[in-house]
Amino acid sequence: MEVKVLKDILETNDNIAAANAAKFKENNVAVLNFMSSPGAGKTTLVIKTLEAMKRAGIPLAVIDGDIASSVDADRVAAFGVPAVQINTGGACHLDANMIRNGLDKVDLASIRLLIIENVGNLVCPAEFKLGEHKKVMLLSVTEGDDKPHKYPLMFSEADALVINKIDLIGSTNFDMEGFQKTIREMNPDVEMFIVSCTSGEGLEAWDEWVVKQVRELTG
Amino acid sequence: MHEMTITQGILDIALDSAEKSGASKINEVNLTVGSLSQVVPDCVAFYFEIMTKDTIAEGAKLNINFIEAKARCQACGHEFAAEDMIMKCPACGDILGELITGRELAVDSIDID
Repeated sequence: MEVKVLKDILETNDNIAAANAAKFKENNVAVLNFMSSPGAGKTTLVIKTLEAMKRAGIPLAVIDGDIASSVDADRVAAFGVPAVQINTGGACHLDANMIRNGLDKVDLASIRLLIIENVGNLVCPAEFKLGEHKKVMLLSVTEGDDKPHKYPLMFSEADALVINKIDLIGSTNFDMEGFQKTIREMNPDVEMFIVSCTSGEGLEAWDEWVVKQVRELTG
Repeated sequence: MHEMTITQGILDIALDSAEKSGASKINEVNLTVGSLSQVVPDCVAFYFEIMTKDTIAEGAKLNINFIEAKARCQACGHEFAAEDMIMKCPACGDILGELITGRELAVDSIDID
């Protein structure tokens, strides 16, 4: 006997993500989900961003997702910002339930911005909603300009794309014009920032964007 | 890369539906999988075989209805393949494609005794 089910496999995750989003709204917190491959510069961008938020007087916290270790959370905590490390124990992405559990350790009432640093991976994190307001994707020029063709989902889902390590572009054959044209054809509304988290080049525009998100999302 | 989570989700949904229908055995599980869902069907099938052991779904057949990604141009209405997520319409050139299929990942139905 055939029984109709018609149930989305990721529905459980999506429901928890919606509950997380409601919690963020209730506490008036803007939430950004940072995603990239390993080594693109997520943690360095997080640190640059938290310095900028300190200057702007925006209190924030960070949730770091990694398969193992607390290296990233330790780097963030050294700046006096609350940091929660989630070890996924092998899982290639953060899911909404991990965030729900991690939120027990975050005082949402005292912050206006929560940055979630996802596990370094260009595939799986794009599939799992966490309850975030905006998806931020990083790509470093040393990874190559062909990545949007190989991992289209993440590039097409991003609200902001930070192109990092621009200081190294001379050592690569990264075609910036062609890359940006491809991105526009996939995701015409994405905001793009060309930066170097090491030299600080281009970060002002990025910092302004983050401040704008916090103001717009938290009123 | 997250096929284990996905497979667990499939099994949970199938077992839950079977229980609600008072089934003693699940013979088949029918899925719809969009080509952009980043799920490798062979991996899901492999995990499914392992994870169904000692459940009423043991030995059940997993059927996958694979759906290609398609977009529709919001300017001219032309429908085109969107496997690469390029939303530029090949007919009119506007970047106004809206994805209509490809992201499906659902349990459609189960066959039970």
